[in-house]
Amino acid sequence: MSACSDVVVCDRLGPWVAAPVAEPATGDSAEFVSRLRAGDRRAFEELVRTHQHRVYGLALRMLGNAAEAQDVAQEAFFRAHRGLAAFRGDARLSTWLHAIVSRLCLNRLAGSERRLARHGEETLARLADGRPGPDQALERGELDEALHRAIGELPEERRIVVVLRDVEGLAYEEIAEVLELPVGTVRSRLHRARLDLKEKLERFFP
Amino acid sequence: MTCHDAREQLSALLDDALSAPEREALGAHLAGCAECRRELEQLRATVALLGRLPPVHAPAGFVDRVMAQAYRPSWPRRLVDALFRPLRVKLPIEAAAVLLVGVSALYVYQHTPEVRQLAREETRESPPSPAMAPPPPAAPPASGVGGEESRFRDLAPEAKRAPGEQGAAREKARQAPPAVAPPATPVPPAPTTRGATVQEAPAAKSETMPGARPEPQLESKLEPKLKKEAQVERRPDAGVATGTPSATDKVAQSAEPSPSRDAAGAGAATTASPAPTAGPLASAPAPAPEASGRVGGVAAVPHAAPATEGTRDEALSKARSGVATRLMRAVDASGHLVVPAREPAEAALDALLRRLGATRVARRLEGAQNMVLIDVVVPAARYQELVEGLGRIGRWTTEHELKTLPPQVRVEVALTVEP
Repeated sequence: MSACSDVVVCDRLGPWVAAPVAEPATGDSAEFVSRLRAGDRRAFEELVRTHQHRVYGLALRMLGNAAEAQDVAQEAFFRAHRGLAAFRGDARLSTWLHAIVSRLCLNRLAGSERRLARHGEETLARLADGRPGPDQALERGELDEALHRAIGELPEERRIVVVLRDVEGLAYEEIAEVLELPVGTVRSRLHRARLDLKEKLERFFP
Repeated sequence: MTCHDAREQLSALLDDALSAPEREALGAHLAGCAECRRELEQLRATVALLGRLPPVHAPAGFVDRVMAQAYRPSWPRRLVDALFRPLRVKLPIEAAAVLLVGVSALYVYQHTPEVRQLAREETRESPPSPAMAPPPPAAPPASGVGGEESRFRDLAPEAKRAPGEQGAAREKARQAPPAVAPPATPVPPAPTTRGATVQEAPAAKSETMPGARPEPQLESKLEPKLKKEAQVERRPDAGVATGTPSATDKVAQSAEPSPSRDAAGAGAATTASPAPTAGPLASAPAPAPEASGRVGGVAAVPHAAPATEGTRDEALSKARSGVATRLMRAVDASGHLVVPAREPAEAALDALLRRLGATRVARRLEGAQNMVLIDVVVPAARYQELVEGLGRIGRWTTEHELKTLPPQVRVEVALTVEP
């Protein structure tokens, strides 16, 4: 079994992959997609409205900075808008959007010398911007802070996988499609990421 | 199955991503390995913690911003927003507004004192005028609007000499009447510039009339002379040199009989004819050489003789102040030059002028607008080069430009530092 290469394993994963992903309210109906591709403004607005939190959330988790996250999320939608005509109907819209925003995030992280971990408290404070309310934030403060820090300290290629999987809830195959990686690579990166996180979050275990 | 192999699959197990045989084998291992079970539980807890992260919401207005970015050109409201929000658009508009205010202020400033001065001088000059051969309106032109009128009279060429000459002319006009009427005034028009002379024709003529006994002769003498002067006036250098305040020294020199640079043209011509002919005829017993060159001198001949250095200086300074008040008059072209910094721009401008053989004839500050007004005179042939050069120094906007440029173009450059 261990002799199986990752790739072989992933090929066999298909039917068993759990996909507890909340489907976007807007289904990728052919009609909706064709309206989008025809340049229907309302359709595009609906797309943005439906996916804004997921796209922004992914950027925020990846970049750890609300302003940068908004910047990247906005840019992602802008690119999506320009690329709608070229959108292939064979991918899901959400997958497609995730792919765009993931690439933007990774590019930005690779392009800059920045590392989320180095931003320290400042970054964590800014991360709080994305939280729902101050009460909740206070309650969860310590854990959230630890989680954000732990995620931020992961290498980018592991961080993106664990965020897509455990925060955004994408299936292995979807992640593989988003990141254009073999599923086996996704699986091993996810495992490494979880092991890293486990080390750092042990004190919170029941 | 080793513990290592088993642990590699724990994540997949949690995600239910193992095939049935894999799951079976792993389950068998876990049943007998407490360490691996503990590891699995910890991983499960980790994933659970991640799942407890609060959901993130995009900031308010995110959709609008995206839509604005995506549909900017076709969405009027966004377009308006885009027009008025970003600084890069707002600043130029504000700058334009400031400039507009500046120009309006300039306009008012330029014209109000003008009117005042005109009124003042009309009252002063009205007594002699009724008796004059040329109608009274001839007098104000010499002092007030004279620049324009004489310019239109002679059409293009002499336009550029306007400010300086007008100033001088007005000075002269001011001095002339006393010279004619009360002999007490020792200030003859002698030191006035050749340019003033040229320009002065009507006024001088009118002044001549009341005081001059040999009216007919003078008239007849004046006529050809005026024509001659008109020709002289068209000579580019003559008009320009005299029109420039900075050229006052030169003017002073050329006011002497000694032929200066343009004496051959203007000075010489005028000196030659009026001195021997008009001078004596106009009941001038001792036409001083300085005075002989100009019509006014003819009119005031008796007093012209003892034109001393002192009186000349006095008149010159008066002429200068006259020039100063007329600096902004009657330019052939004008425009705004917006530059990043003033000093370097002025230095560059000076260099440009040197290269083009142009002269900077006046410069003054418009304090409130932090604007420097620089008058330059450039040969028409190089005017285009001047404009191009200005374009290199800063942002040059031509605001006014005669259709037909005179041989010597007087250009007013309003220099402002960009905000």
